[in-house]
Amino acid sequence: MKTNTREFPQRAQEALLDERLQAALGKARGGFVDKRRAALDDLPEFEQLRSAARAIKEHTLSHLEEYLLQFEREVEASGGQVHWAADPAEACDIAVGLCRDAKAQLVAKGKTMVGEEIGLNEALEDAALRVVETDLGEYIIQLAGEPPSHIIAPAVHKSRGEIAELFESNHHGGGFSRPLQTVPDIVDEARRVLRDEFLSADVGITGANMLIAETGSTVLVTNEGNGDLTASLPPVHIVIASIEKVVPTLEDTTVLLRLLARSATGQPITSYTSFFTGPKRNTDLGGPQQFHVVLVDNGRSEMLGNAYREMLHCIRCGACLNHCPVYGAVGGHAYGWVYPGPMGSVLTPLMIGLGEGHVLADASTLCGRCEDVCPMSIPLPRMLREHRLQSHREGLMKPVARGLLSFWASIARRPRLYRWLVERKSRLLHRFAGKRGYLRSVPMAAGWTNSRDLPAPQGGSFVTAWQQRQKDRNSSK
Amino acid sequence: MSSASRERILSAIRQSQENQPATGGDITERLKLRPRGPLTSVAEDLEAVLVERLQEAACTVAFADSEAEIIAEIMQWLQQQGTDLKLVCSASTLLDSISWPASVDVRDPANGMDHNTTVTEAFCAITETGSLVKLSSQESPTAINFLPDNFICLLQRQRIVRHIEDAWDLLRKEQAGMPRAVNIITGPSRTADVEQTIQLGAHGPRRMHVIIYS
Repeated sequence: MKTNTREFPQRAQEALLDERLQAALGKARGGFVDKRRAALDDLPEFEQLRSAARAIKEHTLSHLEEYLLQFEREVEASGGQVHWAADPAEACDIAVGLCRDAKAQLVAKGKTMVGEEIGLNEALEDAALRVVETDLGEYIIQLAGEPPSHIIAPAVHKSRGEIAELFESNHHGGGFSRPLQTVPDIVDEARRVLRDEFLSADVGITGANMLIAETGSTVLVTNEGNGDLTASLPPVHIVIASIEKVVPTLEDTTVLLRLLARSATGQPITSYTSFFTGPKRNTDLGGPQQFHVVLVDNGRSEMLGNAYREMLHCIRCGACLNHCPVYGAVGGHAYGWVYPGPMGSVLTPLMIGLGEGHVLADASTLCGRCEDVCPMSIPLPRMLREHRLQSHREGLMKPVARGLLSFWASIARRPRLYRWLVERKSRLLHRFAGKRGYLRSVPMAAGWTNSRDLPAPQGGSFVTAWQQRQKDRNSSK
Repeated sequence: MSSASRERILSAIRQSQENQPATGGDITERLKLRPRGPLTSVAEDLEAVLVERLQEAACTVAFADSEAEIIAEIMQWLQQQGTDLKLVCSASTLLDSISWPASVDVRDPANGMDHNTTVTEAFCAITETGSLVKLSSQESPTAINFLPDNFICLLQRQRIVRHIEDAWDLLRKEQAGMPRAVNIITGPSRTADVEQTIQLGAHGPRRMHVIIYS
């Protein structure tokens, strides 16, 4: 997939000025946050589940090789096949090869973020296959020719009007009533169009939320039921999954399931949580004749041994996106690759290289909300700092930024000088702000003050306030 | 290509693992003991909680104490929906023993699944989440749970369990391994992909009706 991560600053700027996008983001933000809050208020066991989930992931990662081999054995025992792909190109080659073997023309796809990561659709289309996304959100962005802007709500940036226009121009001649005005109209039309595709697809490709070593099952969590139709109707079912998705047992799976939907959409569980094990049995009436699992590494085996190991705990719930002030302001497309938000800013530089991706790690205030809401307690801010440190070491920062930072650091290392300067500066700003208490513009900081005012210091510094406080306390004793 | 990649990935994992401690015991033990994680609290009266949660998940629920009541309940519900009397009906001991009224066109899924309503029986129900569990089998292909507009699912009162883990225990006790598909179903199909508005009937059933019988 094409990467535009370097252009984050420009794209973020454009996103801030895009009124349609801002309206869509505003609507989404509250919805996700409030629903998650309500779900967790009903779950007094949240913290217990959180630490149990962490322990499960730590245990599994520390025995990753054994669990992957155990998973492979069980898939084979149930009549399926496991394929190993070290990088995106290999994963795509395997999937294309399986489609060719099946003499496929039409591929139905359920939502798979790993599929996005490896650029699967482009590879299948290059091999002259027709690919239809079946998750409504993915279908919408496929028609629009865009990447997903959210890992669980790919079309969250699109308004109803935009979707109606897309359907209008793509479904013409289908005998549909027009205009499409309501949400039910839109959903019904997609249902009718996609039902035919399901029934005639030669191969179904889905992702997996988890892989179970005990049974060789792949777990799929959806609300629409598209994943289940994709997995059940075509004669070949291919699952694309990354290696860190494996968990030991059905019991361990259950712990993660209790956290996943609540953190994502605020549901106690999604409408459909499905477990696929092998192809159809000889006596089964329906189901695929072939079952393949493509295990994708793409840098994960290396992450296992470095400072980003805990990123492999991620269950892709999207809570960090929904609670991130930066994501909430600019949306997913500004990030320029597959994974947006805090988890994306950590993963992207690891997958496409720090040179391309380091700018994403800078686009954070390190406020820590992502870590607070993460059901796996992944220290995302620490990892973002790690990226910054590394890009500084590798000299990837702009010379101006680097110079200013070094200048600041040289002062910050001299506490007395630093305090003296801060006192001066805050008094000065305080005086400039006058009675209003804030500044409309600041020299050399127009980029910041163009869209907001700068609250002026109220005089004095933290250190003087603290000293005063200690003095008052001592005198009142 | 795949077997060389397999070796490459596994050796990269081994290499990364070198300086990392192993946690949580060994894998044979874990796969044998299958420890349960923290459970959510569920009130004593399972059936009452289940009914409440099914309704929260947008299901309708009815009760029946005899075969005649089951038929009456299905007929009445179909009438309320204003739908035709064409059913796809998966076999089970109970469903096989039902003598349908002559007006109903009952089809075995082996002879096509393009009727608007499915009647099938659940393996069990999970109170914790308000879910029904369906297993793929010779009698009941997975697609009949997802293709129709109307999904009618019978549930035997004795097969209501408390937690998801209890469903796993039941499965291990009664089945020889995992079937091709296990579906935990919680209400009709839905989507919120258009402006965060929840709309039922995305790709799967638009309506789900549960009949609890004894």
